[in-house]
Amino acid sequence: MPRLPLLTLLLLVFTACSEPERLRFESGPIDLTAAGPLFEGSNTAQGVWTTGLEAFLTEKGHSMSDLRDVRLTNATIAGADSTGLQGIRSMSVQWMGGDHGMQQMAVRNPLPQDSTTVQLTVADEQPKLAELLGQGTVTVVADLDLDADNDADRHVIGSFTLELTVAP
Amino acid sequence: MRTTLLLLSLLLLPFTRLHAQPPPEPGDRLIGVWEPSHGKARVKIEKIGDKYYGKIVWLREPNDPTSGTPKVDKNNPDEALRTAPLRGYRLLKDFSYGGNDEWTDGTIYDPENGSTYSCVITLKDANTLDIRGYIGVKALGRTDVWKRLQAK
Repeated sequence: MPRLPLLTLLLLVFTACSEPERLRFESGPIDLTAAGPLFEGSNTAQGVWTTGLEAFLTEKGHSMSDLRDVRLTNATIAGADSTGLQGIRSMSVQWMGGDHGMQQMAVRNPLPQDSTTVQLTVADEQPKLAELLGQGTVTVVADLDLDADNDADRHVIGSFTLELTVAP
Repeated sequence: MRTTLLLLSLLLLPFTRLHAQPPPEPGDRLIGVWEPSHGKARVKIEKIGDKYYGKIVWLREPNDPTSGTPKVDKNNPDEALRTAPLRGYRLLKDFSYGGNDEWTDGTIYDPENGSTYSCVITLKDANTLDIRGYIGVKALGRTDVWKRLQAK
């Protein structure tokens, strides 16, 4: 009978020690280009993100097999030059790669006028992100809703913050 | 002699550039702007990587009749994404060309009810598509006929 509190204590210690760890993972700036000529309405900008997830986990003392969950917590888009985000009425961002189909990740509609950087509303549902990021490269597609035609290319910079849940 | 060579190079340049372009892939015949049978929207199909995607580029009624503001994806099952503009929305996703004028393994989204269906696209002729949406069994689906906007 006196063993019971001891067992409970050991169980509590064990549970506390096996709490999953949460890590913050930043994408860094990703150049997204819409090749001109561009037209009034929705235009496709895209770029490739080499995630470096495996190297990040190794640096933190983990491996890819420790990864339990990945969630996008913040998505930011900034203008790449002095024009900022001028002329962009709204935008939505999708991720895709390998066998992983296109997934809508974030949206902002409308964009504040004359802004240079905007934070997007992030999707609640984010299935299979660990698989997608684990492939090493993600194609980032941004649909830019432009208010006028433009002959030149348009560049914006995407930055993403993710929360990784890893086994201890 | 040098002048002749220079002239010859300049003459041959356009042909060299012409031959340098890769030939279009058979699957690229899907690329273009298409109109579903209801005529309420137009969808631009483009290629990203080696797959095909289609987004709404025109709406017959672009504004919500109640609010008077541009329509948004108000039926999206993900509440956080319901502010996405309907004009520009990607209805068709992840289609691969499988030969025989058929594109498979993709999905089609119905913004009127927020549902996503499996989908197969068949090119009937240069300007006509059969778009077949289904859940589970292809035979139990529904087919819509889309017409190319600028006929070839």
